[in-house]
Amino acid sequence: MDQQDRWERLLKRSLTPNIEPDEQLNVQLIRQLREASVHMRSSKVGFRKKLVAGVASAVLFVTMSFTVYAAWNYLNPAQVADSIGDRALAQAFVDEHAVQLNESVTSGDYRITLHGIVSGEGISDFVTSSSAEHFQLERTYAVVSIAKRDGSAMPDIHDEAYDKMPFFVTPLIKGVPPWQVNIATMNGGYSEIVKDGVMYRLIETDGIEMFADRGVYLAVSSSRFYDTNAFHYQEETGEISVNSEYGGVNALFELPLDPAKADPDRAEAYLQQMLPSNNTDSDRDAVRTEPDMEAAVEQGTLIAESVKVMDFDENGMGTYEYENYLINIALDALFEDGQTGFSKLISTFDDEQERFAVRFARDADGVVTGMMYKLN
Amino acid sequence: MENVAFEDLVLRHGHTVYRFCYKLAGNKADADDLYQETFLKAVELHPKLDVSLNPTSYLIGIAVRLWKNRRRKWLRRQQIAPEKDWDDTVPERASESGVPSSPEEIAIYNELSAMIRDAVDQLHDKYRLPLLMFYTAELSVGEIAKTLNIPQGTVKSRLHKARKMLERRMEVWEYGPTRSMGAFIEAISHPKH
Repeated sequence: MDQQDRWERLLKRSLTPNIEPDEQLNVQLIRQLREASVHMRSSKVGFRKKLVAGVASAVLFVTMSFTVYAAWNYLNPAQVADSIGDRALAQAFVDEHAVQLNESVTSGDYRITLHGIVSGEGISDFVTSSSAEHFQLERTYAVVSIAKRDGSAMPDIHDEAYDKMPFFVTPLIKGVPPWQVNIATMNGGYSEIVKDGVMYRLIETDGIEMFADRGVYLAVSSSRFYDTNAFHYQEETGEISVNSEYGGVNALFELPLDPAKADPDRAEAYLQQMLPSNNTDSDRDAVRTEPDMEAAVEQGTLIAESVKVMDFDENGMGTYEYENYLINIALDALFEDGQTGFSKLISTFDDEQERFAVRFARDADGVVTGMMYKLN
Repeated sequence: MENVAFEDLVLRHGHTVYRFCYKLAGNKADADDLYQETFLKAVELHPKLDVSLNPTSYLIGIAVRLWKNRRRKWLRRQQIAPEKDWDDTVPERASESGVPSSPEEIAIYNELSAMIRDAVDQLHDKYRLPLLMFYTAELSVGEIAKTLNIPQGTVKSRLHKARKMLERRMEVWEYGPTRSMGAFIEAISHPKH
């Protein structure tokens, strides 16, 4: 046996975790499989009855230049859903309650198009009973495409350049601070494909139609999370608008939701359990990535003497310490390979009546610095 | 395929699929979700099931697609609360086929394995996915190529490059195959009977 064979054997052994699915997990899974099989046999169209009526018509948002783009240039929402293997959602997107929008706006070097939106219960293949426990029953799905204005192709998902230019696509609710309530806090997620040089993003969040009487936007920015610099939020009116001075890509669509679908009581209850003032003590001292925390740090005060260079040991573990605060953290938990700038991971803690946050930055030389902010 | 067949799949192939999901997701909670969604999706797609295909390959393919579609959410959760709930002990199977048997060898083995896992987790998905499909799920190059929809030659070159990147990483950590790790590999490659 040569050296390479031995290396192969070590790789094989190292990459085979000594772990099995719990017996209870398998029991639960088999039960789910039986239920799914029965459901499929008994009613292929059951989900139609559960659909909540969607939006009625497209409207233009006043501050941006929109065009109705030639739809044949793109996949339609149903084709996008089908491409990622979600046949139920593809069907929902061609249902009469779904709305095809095909509204485009240009920003920087990109053309951003909102293709369509649909809301309802049980309209996706991907919501299982295990994960649905934490979600609203009603979910909203929207398809957005992003293409280069000059006609060059967006990086394919297999390319090294894929995801180098991040995009954050989120619904925002009029009258609610966007850094507090957005896709990241609304149990959201997304799927993405690149087809013929166009990137399609299918987002999903908790249902937004309950906010129809308030007004709901769909925002796109070139950031990994909500960027307070990309949009203006006017507290007096609750209006959200694009920041024309923003250096990156930003776009905002106003969603034409039917006010008749609003549910003010449910909407208020939803927001009450989500907004920070209603968080419990257990949320304190957490390490967080929520965009509201990024915004809070930006508005906080840096404690100059807390800025310290961190050393990491051979296992990638580093320690940051300032006064009574101490944290041990892995480098790879803070930064992705090659990432510079601020880490998305922010540690927060309360000290008597004051709240603090610790964030981390890495420069081009790989030097990691920890620093503490006093939050407002 | 009837649901009873899928139950059989769970019992016969579930452990391999689960291990793969665990490696992809990085923690038990997300692995549980991915594992369940994979089988449920398989039920949904069953009319498309190619019975000539290796069932494990079919299920791994679904897991990869689901994971790609949803990894942002999972990555975010991982960053908020990184979980390292690996069972770092020597796999029982290893002890049957050539093994670190002394406490010192086991300690070194566990350390090396942890380093390799960390190094693999840091690879770009382009290399990490074929590597996990090959070693964790034990798919063939042809099955990986079919699942990822890329040529077999590409799979081979990515596996080769991934191994080289891991070797370099281990050498940086002074555990490269040609250094101290070599002696250890030598030891565990000659099983004691």
